[in-house]
Amino acid sequence: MTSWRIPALIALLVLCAASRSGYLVSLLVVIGLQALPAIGLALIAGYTGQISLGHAAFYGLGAYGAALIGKWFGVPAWLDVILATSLVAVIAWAIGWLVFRLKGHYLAMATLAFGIIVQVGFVELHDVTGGPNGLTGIPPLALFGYTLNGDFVFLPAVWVVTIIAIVCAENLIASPTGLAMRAISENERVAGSVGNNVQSIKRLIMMVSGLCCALGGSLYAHYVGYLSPGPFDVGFSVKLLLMVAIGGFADVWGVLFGVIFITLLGELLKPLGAYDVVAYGVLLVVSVIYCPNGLLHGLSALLGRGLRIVNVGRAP
Amino acid sequence: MSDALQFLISGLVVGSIYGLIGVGFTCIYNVTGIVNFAQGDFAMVGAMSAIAIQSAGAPMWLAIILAILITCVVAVLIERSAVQPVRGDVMRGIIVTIGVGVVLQGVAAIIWGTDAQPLPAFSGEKLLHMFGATVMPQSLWVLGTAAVAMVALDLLFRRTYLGQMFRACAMNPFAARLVGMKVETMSLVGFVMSGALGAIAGIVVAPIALTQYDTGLQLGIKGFVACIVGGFGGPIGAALGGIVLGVLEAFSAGYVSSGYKNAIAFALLLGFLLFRPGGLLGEYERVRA
Amino acid sequence: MTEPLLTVDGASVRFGAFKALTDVGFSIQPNELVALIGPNGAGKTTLLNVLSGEITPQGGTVHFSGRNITGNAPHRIVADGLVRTFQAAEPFQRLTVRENVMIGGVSHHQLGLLPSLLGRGRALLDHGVLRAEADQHLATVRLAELAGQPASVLTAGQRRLLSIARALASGAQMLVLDEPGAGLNDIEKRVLGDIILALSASGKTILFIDHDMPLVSRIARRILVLDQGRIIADGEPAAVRSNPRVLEAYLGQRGVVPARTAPSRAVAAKPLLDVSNLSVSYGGLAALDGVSLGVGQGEIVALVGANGAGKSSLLRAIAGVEASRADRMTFDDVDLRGESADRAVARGINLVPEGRALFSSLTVLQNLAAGRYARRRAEGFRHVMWRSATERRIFAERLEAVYQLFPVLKERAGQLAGTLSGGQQQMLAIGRALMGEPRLLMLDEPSLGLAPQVLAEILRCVERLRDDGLTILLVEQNVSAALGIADRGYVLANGRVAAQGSGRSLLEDTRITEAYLGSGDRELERAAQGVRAVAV
Repeated sequence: MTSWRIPALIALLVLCAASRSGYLVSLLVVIGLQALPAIGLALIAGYTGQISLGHAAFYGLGAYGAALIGKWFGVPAWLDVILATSLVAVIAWAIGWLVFRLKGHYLAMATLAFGIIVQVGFVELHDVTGGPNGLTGIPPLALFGYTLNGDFVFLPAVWVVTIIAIVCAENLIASPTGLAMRAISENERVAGSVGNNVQSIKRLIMMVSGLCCALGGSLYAHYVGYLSPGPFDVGFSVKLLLMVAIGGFADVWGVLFGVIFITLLGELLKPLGAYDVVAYGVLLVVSVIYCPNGLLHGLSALLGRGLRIVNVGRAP
Repeated sequence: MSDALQFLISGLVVGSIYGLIGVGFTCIYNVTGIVNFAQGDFAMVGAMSAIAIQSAGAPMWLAIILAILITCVVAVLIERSAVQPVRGDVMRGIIVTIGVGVVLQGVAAIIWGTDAQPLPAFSGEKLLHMFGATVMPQSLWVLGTAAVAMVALDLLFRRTYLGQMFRACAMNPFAARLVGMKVETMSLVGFVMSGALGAIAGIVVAPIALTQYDTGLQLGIKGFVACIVGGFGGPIGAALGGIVLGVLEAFSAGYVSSGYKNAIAFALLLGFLLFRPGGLLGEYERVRA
Repeated sequence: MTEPLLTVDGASVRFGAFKALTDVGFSIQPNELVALIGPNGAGKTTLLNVLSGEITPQGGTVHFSGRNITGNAPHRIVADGLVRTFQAAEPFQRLTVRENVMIGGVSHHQLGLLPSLLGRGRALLDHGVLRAEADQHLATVRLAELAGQPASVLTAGQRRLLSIARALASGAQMLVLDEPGAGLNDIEKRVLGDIILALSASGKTILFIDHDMPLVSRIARRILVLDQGRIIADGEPAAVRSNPRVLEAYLGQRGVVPARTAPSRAVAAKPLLDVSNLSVSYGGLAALDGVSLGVGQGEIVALVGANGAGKSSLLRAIAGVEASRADRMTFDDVDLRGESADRAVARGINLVPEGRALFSSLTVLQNLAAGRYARRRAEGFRHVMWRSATERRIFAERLEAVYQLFPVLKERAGQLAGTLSGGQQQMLAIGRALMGEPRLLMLDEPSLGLAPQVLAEILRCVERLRDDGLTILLVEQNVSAALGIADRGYVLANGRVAAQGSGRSLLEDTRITEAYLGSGDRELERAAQGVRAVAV
């Protein structure tokens, strides 16, 4: 029933690429790169109900991991992406093992602490990460002898990965494990009482979630070619959460909408400079209070009500 | 040795600020069950308002009082508009208060700009020399204010009727309803107290540390760490937690590297969360029971 | 003799100083159908939590099919073959009925991560074995036609059946059901009984808690009775029903309170509290269904009835802490409908709830002072911050009155409420309510967990209060004691008033025993009619 969505998405991408607009294509690349961690966060926070304020760390670990593995071992770019992603997936599983004995605020704070510790590590480990000066000279991704240099060639690469991630995420949600995830988010105790190993499922999803983030991060590293700690701070974790909230938490396509919406909004608000955060904040508060199922649902409900009022008004 | 003393003093000063912010957390959490992620921003609002009013020519005491009042009003507005609608929902409570913090930061940036600004010291800048360490007079103000505030709060909670009823509401919300209390009222009281405490912390530390629109985030998180370390209970626990954190930070900044001090704070947080969720005093269980 | 399937040996659980279970031991054979009954607070749910692994007992062991499962994680115990349901049924509201059942099957149709990501799991849910099994279990509990509906639309009865189907889907051979019949109407209960019997016939071993004695008598072949954390009886239904210890546990010792010599007093013409057609429901589950009652100025009215009959809900609805619907609910001619709890307290309606609800980290005196909150708040918020001279005077007067009634509270004024004994806590809870100058005092199970002597003392105080002119509405599981001091009584059953009459007439009617312990539907009906006849 949602099978039209992927062809539609591909058609949209092709259309945008065909416009030959460099600006549009670079936006699409950014959207694709951020959709990966956002979907990862939606799996654990939206579907499984376990909040995380540290997902920027997985994204950052993926980015730095790929860059450093490439630099140290001289492996081809595609291989360092795979290696870094697998490594971060293991780290995410271990973090899950550590933090999922906590719930609610305590979980939020623990993941926040994890995020900040990793961020501090990026800044302070000068010898490894280059500290605040950053890490330069990351080679672009190369596949089958092709160097993916520039937005137009990177676009298909990143969106192939993103679409695969979307399909896999949907498959996971539609599987028995996905059912268990939704049960856990609603009532952990009852989910456990009929035989589900709640902790093990949470850790598994955390691993998948970290994997998505790291994949996005390592592609990002090869896309920009330069890493500094800035983009991986708590602000990015909050932005991811905002995307997920606007998308309606447990809704993969909604979250994709959230990513697109926030990215476009960011572009619109650019003239405001630093003040754009006010808009983000207000949006976050309003959408969480008034649109618990996401902005799209909230707006369509509002629209529906408006239409009904109009219709009632017209009725004799 | 004098190094160590110096670190100890600066740790105590910073730690008492963390403690004040931390108590603010408990004032709100115990009654509403929401951890206010915008807590540190109350300190920022207090400090920035005080700086603005003072630089507009008002005497210092007036600036301080007005700034505290402004922060309380902001806290009340937040409680009514953002926290009340999501009470009882942990995940949405977290996200909403994060959003509120972001809004406060943005509005502060619009009103006061993004530059770090100082507040003049309350009683001069002349350094004091004690036991081989140099101390800013403002540091003494910080320590004194924190001590007075903590003792006053402790007395409020233990000795006054309102304070006792506030604690009662946190202890057993159902029983509180049966004797006629409204959780909404007590939640408002908690936000006012929390706003005032945050503002006091922000103002008193403003002459030492420059304040800018995004100072609050770090302060808020540190305040929360203080709470966890002390045990999520009353003022004494938070003060203790704040001091432990502040001193640890000061020593690690002094002997290891200032960059790592944040990591140490959060390692402490993780450690306590995972292995001793009751904090040093272990009040967590009792308060939520 | 075959090997027992489940053996509990010497299980003990303490929560702080409170002993929830003491040395509980029993065993259940394969394919047995056993009911677990016992008065409120007896420890039944705690025992279930021990069986399902949610609580690790401090002492004793649980063996299941030959293996020691004491303290194992719940999901491992399910894997071993023992599954439980919850009192509240707790469906996953955001899932469909079928998905709810499939949740139970997920663990033994576990699919690896990789196949799940590749889409192999979709088939399992859409038309695979998981779905087929779920539909089969739904058919067993007669919910098949609702499979595609969201679980949130189910009625209370359907929710309970759904939770049974969900438990069945786990494939466990033993089902432990926590109050599957609570809140169901007679027809639903009959269906539930048939389903449980059918499951038993299909080879499942079943242990269930229920309060509805007709249901229990109909389907169980063996009854375990738990009282104050101990097994006090174990045997066939007929034997258990006539066991004097069971009667005592349910109805209280006769003669705890000497029967009053004074005859029933005339009821005031105009009731102080007048309730007509009051209903309360929790998420579709009707706790009260059209109850009407009146309480006259200065009388003690007792509410009695089995657990889950809706007594507490009634008190809570009157106190305004529970949302309710009613045709009429007036207190001294003031409409109480839609009134919030704080307004009700300010009007003089004070509830002393079951379990006391004290502020355990405040002192006795501070708890008593908290009882003044509504009165002070009604004067304006500044009166909460400062005490006026009038308030000081009234406070001193009320405090003196409470101390006279319960001298022990004066001795312990500075002690933390949480450190008092159970009886003292009950006195403090009553004292706190009295501080608020109540006009109607509602007591919910004041004897819960107390020794008989303490109960007698408390009931004497209640009589004194009435003699001083206070109006009292009393819910008490010790029926004999409650009716012994009451002017009038109401018998609640399944959220409705089953009978009413003067305290003495209800007390002397021995058939009230049957309303509690039952002996088949028809006899219950006759008993109720008998009681009603007496009431007229």
